Amino acid sequence: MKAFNDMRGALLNTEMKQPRYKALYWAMFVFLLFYAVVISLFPVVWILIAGFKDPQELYQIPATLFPKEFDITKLFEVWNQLKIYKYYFNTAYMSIGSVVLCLLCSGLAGYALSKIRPMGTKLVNNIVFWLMLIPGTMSTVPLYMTFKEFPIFGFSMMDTYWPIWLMGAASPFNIILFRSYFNGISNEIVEAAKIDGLSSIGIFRHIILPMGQPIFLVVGLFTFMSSFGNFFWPYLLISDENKIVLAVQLYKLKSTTFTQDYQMLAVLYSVLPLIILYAIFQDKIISGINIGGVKG
Amino acid sequence: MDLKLQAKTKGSKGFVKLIKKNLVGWLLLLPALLCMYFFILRPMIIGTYLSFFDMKGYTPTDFIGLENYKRIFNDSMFMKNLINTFKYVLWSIVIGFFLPVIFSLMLNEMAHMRATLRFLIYLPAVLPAASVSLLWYFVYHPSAGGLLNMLIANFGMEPYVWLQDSKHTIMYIIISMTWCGAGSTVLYYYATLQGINREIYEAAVIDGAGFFRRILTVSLPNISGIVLLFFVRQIIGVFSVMEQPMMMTDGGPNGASMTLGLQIYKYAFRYYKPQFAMALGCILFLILLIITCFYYVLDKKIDKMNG
Amino acid sequence: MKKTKTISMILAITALTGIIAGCGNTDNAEEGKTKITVWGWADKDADPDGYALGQKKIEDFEKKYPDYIVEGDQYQFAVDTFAAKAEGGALPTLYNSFLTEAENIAKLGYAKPITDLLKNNGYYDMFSDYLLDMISYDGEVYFFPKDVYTLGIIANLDIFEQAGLINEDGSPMVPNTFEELADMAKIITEKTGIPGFVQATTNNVGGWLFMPIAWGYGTKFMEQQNGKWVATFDSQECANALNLIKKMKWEDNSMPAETLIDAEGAIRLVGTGQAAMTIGHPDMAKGLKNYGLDINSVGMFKMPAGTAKRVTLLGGGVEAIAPNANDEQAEAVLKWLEFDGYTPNLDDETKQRIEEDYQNRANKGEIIGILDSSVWSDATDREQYTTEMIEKYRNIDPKNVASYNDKTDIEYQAEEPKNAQELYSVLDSMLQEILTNKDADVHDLLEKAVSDFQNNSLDYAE
Repeated sequence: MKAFNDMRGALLNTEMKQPRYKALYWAMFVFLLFYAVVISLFPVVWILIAGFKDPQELYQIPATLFPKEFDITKLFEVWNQLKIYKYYFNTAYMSIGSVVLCLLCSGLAGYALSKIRPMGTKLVNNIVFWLMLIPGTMSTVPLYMTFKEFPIFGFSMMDTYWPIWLMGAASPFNIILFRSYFNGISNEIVEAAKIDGLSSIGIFRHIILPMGQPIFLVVGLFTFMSSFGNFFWPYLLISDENKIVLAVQLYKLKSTTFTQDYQMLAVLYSVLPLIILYAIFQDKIISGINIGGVKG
Repeated sequence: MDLKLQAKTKGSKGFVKLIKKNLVGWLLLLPALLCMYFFILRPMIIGTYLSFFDMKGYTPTDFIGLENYKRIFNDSMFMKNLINTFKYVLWSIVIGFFLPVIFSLMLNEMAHMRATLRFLIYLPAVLPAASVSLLWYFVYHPSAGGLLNMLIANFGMEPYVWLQDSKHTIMYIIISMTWCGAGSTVLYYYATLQGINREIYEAAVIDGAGFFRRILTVSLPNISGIVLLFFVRQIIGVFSVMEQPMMMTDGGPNGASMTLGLQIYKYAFRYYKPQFAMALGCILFLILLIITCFYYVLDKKIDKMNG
Repeated sequence: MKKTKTISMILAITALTGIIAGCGNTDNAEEGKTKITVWGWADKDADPDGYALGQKKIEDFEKKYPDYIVEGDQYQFAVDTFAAKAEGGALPTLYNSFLTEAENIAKLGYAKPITDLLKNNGYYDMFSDYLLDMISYDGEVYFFPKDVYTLGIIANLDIFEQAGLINEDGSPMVPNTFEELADMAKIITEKTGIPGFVQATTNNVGGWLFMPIAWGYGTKFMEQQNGKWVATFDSQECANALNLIKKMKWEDNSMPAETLIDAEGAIRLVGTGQAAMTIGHPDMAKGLKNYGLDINSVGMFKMPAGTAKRVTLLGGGVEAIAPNANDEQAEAVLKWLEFDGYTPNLDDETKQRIEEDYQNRANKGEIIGILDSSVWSDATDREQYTTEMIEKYRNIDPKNVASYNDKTDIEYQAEEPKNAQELYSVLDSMLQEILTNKDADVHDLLEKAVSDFQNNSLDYAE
């Protein structure tokens, strides 16, 4: 069996010739396949199918898996009536802002901690690590007060995306990711560039940026994806109808006059962009996990 | 050449360079540090400080010492919510802890469709928490049209109320959270497993170790570090859970799925009592701090064990 | 080096300007003019007619009062985010809320006191006493009542017809007592398989909607003893009320499987034909049409009687002025309310305004013909004119709502005086337990609920 040649696990190729190992292997395979298709994938597919039913049909006994008819125009109906486009735009705007600020702040900080190493680097490293452990839930109220009235100048960030963007920039985890990735870039290259007369920023632009491209892409993707589903703070801080984001609207739908089938299709719309993004960038995302898996 | 020489000579030039290096370094650090100060560190300090004050709306009025804490401890819901929160953690360990380990070990053996399996297993992890909660709200829907009720109807069973069964509400919420979270944990473990040198397995085979013995002596010790890290992360994450019960049950039925996190939210934004929210936040933090310290002790031990 | 600095500077500047631009647009009125913002503005795209009507109203108002500038704001009251807006100073000058939240809002200073304003303009004496009590806190009036409503039974008459609960003259059968309500719900379920009654249980709304049942059976929730507030609902009366729900759910099987739903969830079930009746107020009944229910299938009945009395909860929408508004703005708001026809004054202009309002509602297909209660102590010209307009634009069959519109033979009761929201939350929990646990013991539940409510809330009531 040629397929087994590239196995990397605890089972050896030679063992695969024995029936009991073969049985074990296929049992595991079926189990995983079942999980992947039935548990992981099916609920998402079901929500699409069920969303095509009309409300009466959803409650009908006995229930049916498939709706009486698949009316594809219903998707457009939901798109228009729930103004999905508006929430897509707002959510994308909010997420991209987070990505930009996060890459800029965390990237530069990671670079400084890894390659410039000013005095106090060790201290900063420790602080950054400890900050990672503070649970956000505990600071709900004081954070909220900060956004309501910023301690300097006393301005308010209510009804803007700035709280989300700035919180994205304040990510100890991402700083650690950047730092450990940049640690892998050889110091000799950096030194050589310095000798060639490049400034610190020049080094960042001409060496770190191109060589660190994978990590920028990965952190950017992860930040975008987590930001896209951001619910709690946008829910509390943004009440301007024109700025509401997807996750918030999804929650609000439960208390609006849209029927259950519409809500189901709205759920589908809320996951679609991320699934597409994931399908396109799956290699990058998985390699990102390999980077992030570095302990500590 | 000239430049190089100059750089190497100590003296006033070197001093300027040192200043420059520090200045630039700190300037680059500044935006991130400021953000972390204002949005992580300072709120924590302010929150602790204000938890000793009485407040009118969001304006502190009088210093009242431990009154807020007393009131929270006296509140009959506190104990219930604390126990509930521990139940969440417990269920998340039972359901969400072992499963990813097993899955990652299995995935590590796969020679067929590995990429597809990986893709599908990770898929739920990219979905936003709000969507997942609502999705599972429909999966658990108590009417005949809920996904699970449709499935059990095929076996001739009556529709079941799922989330509304107060004895198991927490377990069902945890299942939905695990559905979403397990995929990424699996891949993290898997990535570590892939890093194990195959020769170690081959050596173990020569020593006469069977498949399960190899898993026990080679695979598991190699991922124990990251498993422990995720274990603690999971506990910390689940301990402050709020969004999921808020969306799926609003803490019901009869408070059966209330958590400390949701209580903080309700104190702050439903009952206009932010001082209680902050005091409860501090209590939550202290508990988590103990868990974290526990992690460090354990982590050191494991590091020692692995040499 | 230079680049570093420039980049950092640019970062800082963009951050700051962005933040500052995002806030502080409250007080930039033109010289000498007073600017107010007004809640509930229609969305330009979603409801162009309503928006146009609003803009026209502003135009006319500004013509009449050139010193004032009015701007629409889409604000609608929502519990979880209200405090956020109020604290952030982001409330419109005139905002709306509900009587049930009035105590908290006044206590926290989120509304501007308007006692003097009302006295100076002569409105103070026109409020009925019970209403004055509800809009005041500590001797100051904080709210301007907009509409007052009472709870009743909302019904899907399609299901009534299927169950044969329509009289010969075509009017729906009406439950006069809660026993009758339970019987009818049972009949509906037996004949049609559709749950006859649904009760909301979350977001504190469940408890609120349950009040008329509890009162009807004679429940007293709290009383003041020696200056201290004591919870008193661990009683047979309250147990009887809860047992009614328990019987409907578990003996008659006339309630749906879905329990953890809020008021909109209950209305959604009635509107989509998954339940026949629920408790609610006229605005909730109007919401049925959003689910495709025909106007002719909407029914609303008077709250049935319990064993003690027939009583219903008096609720209402109120208008309030943002706490950071100055006196000129408050004055302008009052002028606006006068202009908009919410005071008892009636002139040709107001008449036109009211008619336009009903016309617009009728055009949008809103249900017209369910009568609210009266805000003002005596039947004023304005009330009569409004009733005329409702008659003129009525689109609901009177016999379907005759029972509700008949305001005789029923007591009104305002909300409980202390910690009403916390009480509702406790009641929510009890209802959830009764509806999800077949073996729940009502007396045990009551005992625990009373001790929780007393210990966690009432002990701290001033």
